[in-house]
Amino acid sequence: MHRLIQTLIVVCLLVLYELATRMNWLDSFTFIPFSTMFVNMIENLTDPEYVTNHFGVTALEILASFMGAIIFGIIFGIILWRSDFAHHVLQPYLMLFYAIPFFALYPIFISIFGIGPLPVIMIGLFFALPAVITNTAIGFREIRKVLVKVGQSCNLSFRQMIVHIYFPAAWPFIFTGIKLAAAYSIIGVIATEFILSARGLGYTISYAYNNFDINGMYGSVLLVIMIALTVNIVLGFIEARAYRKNS
Amino acid sequence: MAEPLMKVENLTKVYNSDAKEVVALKNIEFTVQKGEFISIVGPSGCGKTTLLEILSGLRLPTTGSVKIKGKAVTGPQRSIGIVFQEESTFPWRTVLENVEFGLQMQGMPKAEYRDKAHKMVELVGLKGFENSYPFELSGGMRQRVAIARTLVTQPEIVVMDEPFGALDEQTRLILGGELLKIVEQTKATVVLVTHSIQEAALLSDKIVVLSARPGKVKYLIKSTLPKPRDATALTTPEFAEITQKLWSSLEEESLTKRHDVDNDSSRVVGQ
Repeated sequence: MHRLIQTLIVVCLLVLYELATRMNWLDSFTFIPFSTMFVNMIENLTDPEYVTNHFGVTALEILASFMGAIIFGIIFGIILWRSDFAHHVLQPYLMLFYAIPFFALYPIFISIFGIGPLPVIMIGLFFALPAVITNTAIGFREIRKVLVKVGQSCNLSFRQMIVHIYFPAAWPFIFTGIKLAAAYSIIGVIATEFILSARGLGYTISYAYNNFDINGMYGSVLLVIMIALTVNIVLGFIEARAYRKNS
Repeated sequence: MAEPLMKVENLTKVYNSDAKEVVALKNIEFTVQKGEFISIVGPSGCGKTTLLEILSGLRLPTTGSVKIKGKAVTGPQRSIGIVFQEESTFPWRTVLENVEFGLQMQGMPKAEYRDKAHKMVELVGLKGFENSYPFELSGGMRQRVAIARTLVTQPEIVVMDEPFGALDEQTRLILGGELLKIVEQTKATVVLVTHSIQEAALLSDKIVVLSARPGKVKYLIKSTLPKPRDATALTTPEFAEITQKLWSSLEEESLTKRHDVDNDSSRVVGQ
């Protein structure tokens, strides 16, 4: 029932928007009908050059920065959890990490990593990393002591403790970090492409905008939204399954 | 008398906090025979939980020893199973998977541990809930899962820390009666820490009464309640007699403790 109403809301809004643009209630230089956006997105996707140079590049950049954020985030999170020293020394820096506007540092990233996908990936990664680090560290720290004692009373090895107690117990927290990281790496990658790339969806959006190609721009914007939605749905699916079955 | 299964000898535990020594337990001695059900009761703060953690190998005594079949306990081991007071089921595992945990970790083949876990789930009265997750169960049911998870590994001795402490008195005694049946069927030896006199009187063959801090063995009371028992034993004269004994010994303890505290405070005031 909830699903139905949720879907209805989206459908109604889209129909209303379509109507508003078709009837010229909205400024047609700024807003185009949804159907036109959709057609443009499909047209873009049938162009092999667009798919390899822009869509493909962006997808790989997002994937790389997201995976990097997960791997390094969990490693650093575990270090922060295991070492009180590291926790106390690094905690303020981690807080600072959130506040750093990585986009403003893009010239430095270019001079270090050159032009190409690498600086884009690095900015996306750095943008997404703190969420995974903090959530992993919190997840492990907040494990209820009694669960650890149950493990100890079964005389588990360290490896068994990690696999069968610590990870599943911390998993809900870690996964929250992973979901945030997905959003952050998408934002990081697209936004960086606006400013320092000659490829990728972010670039196509800003290029189309600068050339008054409103249709092309909306086609790419819609594709970015579709990517974000898909990632979210996939992660939601994994979360539901993993909680049921990670023993 | 046969060689006891567990022997606690001259056990003392001292905590050092802020350069002050706190003696939590002093010269504790008792034995547990195979198949016995022993309860440890005492006023709050007498070091019951500390004693339990030492018995189960999670903590080491300052002096003295705990021996199982003549071998000193130096850490957690397979021969000792623990049921904790707090909710300790794994929320990410189903009832069946929770019960399987210990056996699975021991490396038993899946078919074998699955079979044993199924039987144990049935024994604790959770048939039909095998595939439920702990959050779908009541507190009492979750504690049954925890008990099943410990008993299924067939430890030589099962140490329980107020397993029904978080439940209301009725549920507590009913589950206690059920626990007795399960213990009889699995022939487990149990050491139960509790502050409920009724629970101790209903379940135990032998009751160890600890004194207020530092915890010492004050009385050893042997139960005369006939077996098998269930919650109906609550109305028998034997039950009344045991609870009466327990009450008076514990009352004495609480009073001496109060007295000490009063002395302390008067000293502080006098300074």
